[in-house]
Amino acid sequence: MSTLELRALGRSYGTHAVVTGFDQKIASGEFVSFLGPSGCGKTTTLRMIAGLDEPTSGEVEIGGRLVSAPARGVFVAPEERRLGMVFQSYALWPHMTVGENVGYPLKLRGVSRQERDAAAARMLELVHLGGLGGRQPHQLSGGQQQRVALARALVMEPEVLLLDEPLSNLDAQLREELRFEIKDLQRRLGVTVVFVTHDQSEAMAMSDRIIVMREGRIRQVGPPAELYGHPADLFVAGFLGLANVLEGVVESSGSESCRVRLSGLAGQPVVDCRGAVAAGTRADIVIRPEHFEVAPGETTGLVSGKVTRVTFLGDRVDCRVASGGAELRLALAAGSAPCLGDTLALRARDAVAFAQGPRNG
Amino acid sequence: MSNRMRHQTAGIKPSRSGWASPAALVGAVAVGLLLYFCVLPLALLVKHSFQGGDPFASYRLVASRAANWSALKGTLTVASGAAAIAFLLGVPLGWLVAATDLPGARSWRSLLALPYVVPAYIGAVGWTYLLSDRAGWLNRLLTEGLGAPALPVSIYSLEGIIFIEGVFFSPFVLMAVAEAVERIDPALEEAARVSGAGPVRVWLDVTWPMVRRAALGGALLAFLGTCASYGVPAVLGPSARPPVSVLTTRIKGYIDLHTTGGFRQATALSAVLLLAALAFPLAERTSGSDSRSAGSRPAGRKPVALGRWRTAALAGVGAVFGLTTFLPILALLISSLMENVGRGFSWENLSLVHYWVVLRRPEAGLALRNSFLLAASAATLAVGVGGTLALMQARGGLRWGWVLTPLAWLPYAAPGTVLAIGAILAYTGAWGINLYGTLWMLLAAYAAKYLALAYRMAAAGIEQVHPSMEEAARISGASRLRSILEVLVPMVRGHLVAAWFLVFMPSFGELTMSILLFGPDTPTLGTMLFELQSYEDPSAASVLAVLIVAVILLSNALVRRLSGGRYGI
Ligand SMILES: Nc1ncnc2c1ncn2[C@@H]1O[C@H](COP(=O)(O)OP(=O)(O)O)[C@@H](O)[C@H]1O
Ligand SMILES: [Mg+2]
Repeated sequence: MSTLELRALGRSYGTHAVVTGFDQKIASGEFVSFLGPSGCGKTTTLRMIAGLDEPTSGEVEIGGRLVSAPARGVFVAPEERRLGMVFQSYALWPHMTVGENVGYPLKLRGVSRQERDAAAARMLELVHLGGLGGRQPHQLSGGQQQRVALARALVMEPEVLLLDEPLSNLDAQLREELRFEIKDLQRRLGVTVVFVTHDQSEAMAMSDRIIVMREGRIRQVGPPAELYGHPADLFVAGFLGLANVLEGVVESSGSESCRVRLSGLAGQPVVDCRGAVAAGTRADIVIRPEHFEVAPGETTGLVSGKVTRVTFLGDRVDCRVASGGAELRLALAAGSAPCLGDTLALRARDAVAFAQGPRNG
Repeated sequence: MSNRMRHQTAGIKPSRSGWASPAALVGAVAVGLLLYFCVLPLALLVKHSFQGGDPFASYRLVASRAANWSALKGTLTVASGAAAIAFLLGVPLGWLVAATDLPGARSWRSLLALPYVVPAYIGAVGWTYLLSDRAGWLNRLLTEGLGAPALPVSIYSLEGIIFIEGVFFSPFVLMAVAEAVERIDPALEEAARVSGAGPVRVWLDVTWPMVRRAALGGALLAFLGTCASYGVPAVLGPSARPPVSVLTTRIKGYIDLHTTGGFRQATALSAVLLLAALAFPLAERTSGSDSRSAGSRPAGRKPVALGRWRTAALAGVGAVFGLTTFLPILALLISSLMENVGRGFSWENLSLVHYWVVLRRPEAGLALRNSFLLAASAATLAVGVGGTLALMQARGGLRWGWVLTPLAWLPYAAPGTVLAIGAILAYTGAWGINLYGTLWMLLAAYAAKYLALAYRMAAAGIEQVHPSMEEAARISGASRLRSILEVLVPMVRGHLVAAWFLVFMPSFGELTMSILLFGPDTPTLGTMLFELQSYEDPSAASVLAVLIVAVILLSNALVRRLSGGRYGI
């Protein structure tokens, strides 16, 4: 267990900057996710922590030890960083048994064969694969292979555990199961975890904090609930959870909030939004599907629209509503399901406004 | 593709102290050996050919001799003829074994490709028993046995040389065609059938256009291979009437003069012959043999039903194999077992006496030992250096990594004769190193010549291993060298073993370079066989030929065994 500090970390290939100014402190025992769309530099950042890639600028410190600092000529080889890592492809060695795979890090440290076997067996027990040490990796299912990779990464009690999209090759059910197993292991062992994923639900389910990345830069850092409720910008709002992104003109503005008249929708919708945007300017408005409610009877100041699709999801109903030229997405309580073709008057319980700037992407 | 490119650069990076690390040291040694053994000889050869006050003096001298022009004409004639024969044999045979329900198609494919691993000069020696003017067994069968009017077809002729070269290079076309046929999406041919085309039309309109390129590439390889070939014209050419001379034998003739002038003309002729290497990459690419090491593809296509032609096709394939490959090898075997060749076939004439006599000669023991030692060392060296270079190219993250491939291929593309002349220039006195007359000289030439085969095979193996396999070992605590030795090498072991035999087999019976480089203490099986054949004792020569063929076929069987049939012939 140990802290991890990344200072102004950067990586570029020629003039192409892949990661820029990545600055973050990760506490001992913390579970942090790098979340962002594919190609945003998550893997590159993780590989720089691991020592599999060298930064072109900035510094990496693991447990107070400087391991990468190109400006100071410091580079500690990956084998000397005492890390555990799980690769997207599992990277189990086909010429070794499952037990030998798990025991290999100990072998490299000169641990005797007996102790190695015992430790490997213990680790396999821990990941619910007790007794499978004699198998060949290819004899295991995908989920089991992933567990072996996890056991191998944890066997020497690493300071930091790095996980690069470890669940993306598994089917949905297994993914969910393993999420909790990984989380559980982390809590029990108290290891610091950096988890790379492009799947927001994975990140939200597991992380103490999420670092949202885009185009090689950090966009926002915080606990999942905070990112969901208080996204720093439209990108974060859209990337975490479902969001209706609308446009409007700010009518009046307070210190923490503003009132916005939505454009492009049927009715005369006016919503109160969190976020201060100057009166008279245009703003982007984010409304989560679960924040719409149906207002029976009233129409003034509300969105009106026609239900175009209703999907029953058990605990709730997913509705699409056409209003003006736009399509809204609603998550309504299962009991209050409208019918296809109904005209609804909608009110937003919660909305966030962002000033419209020069958009970057 | 882009993913692979990324891994190449995103692979394991050297640490700051990278140049002192053991892995970097191994890499530096491999590059050093590559430059010294593969690049230097050919560079010196070209340089030497332009030496003197008038840089073109050697060329002028060479051009002024009519004999050289006739050698050039001989080379071009033999090579064109051989390429044509290889094409005419390889295209139908390749199609038959790959696309049709020919009985035993897989075995036929291996059998027909046998000349790929057996040296052509051994075939030539075999044929001398069958078709020499009057004494040849086939000639005698025709004239005495069948009472045909004396019409001896002699293998000692231009046509004979062309025939043998064509047969021995036909596997290049056969394999190229067979693999091209397998790459065709069967739906394309089926679509043509459904559109109303008959089988012949389908072949002409769909199959052939997709196979043509590979077939022509194979024929070009046969052409270049024949240009570079020494053994067959050397065995048969001098006794032909009129004698057949080609560039390789002419170069050997200049070397045998043992004069400075002779050597300079040899280098000039070699530089001309080296031009053939320029066409080599094109031939490799179009024939598809640069991707051959990927192993055979799963056969997903439904074989074309030959119907009533099946028996005829079988007979044809059998006849071709029998006449081109089986018969000369059988002739060698029989003649090696005949106590007195002149006495004809009879049980009393059968004996192992030649084996006994040959193997008791100290020279033969020496040659056998040398050939084994050289082939095994060359194979080990080529796999070590080739594997390291392939690794550097794939994982080194080197900006100049791409140059390694053409450099490793250079000696393979160059005719053996040319490489040997370069080796003489490079290793007899340059920088105080004189390897002349030592086994080192031969080892350097063999390893350089066949490095490319090991390199390609190793590269194909490494390509199949995702870099994260080694990275996982690094994270686990392994140094770079250890991650390579304990993770990568075991994972590509099959490829490395195959690579070893791919170098061992041609080295074991090598003649072209050996004949120029061997000394009194360093005979090889190839050089000894050649001398016995030319001067004293054909029976003893056939004993050695049988030994060479047996070892090569055994090696080939071993590769097939070890690789589960993926590699070897
Ligand atoms: N060796 C390289 N050369 C050039 N660009 C690279 C290289 N490696 C990665 N990149 C680029 O860096 C960006 C980030 O890649 P990566 O970190 O793998 O993204 P992520 O893991 O977030 O999907 C991508 O746009 C990729 O094209
Ligand atoms: Mg990634």
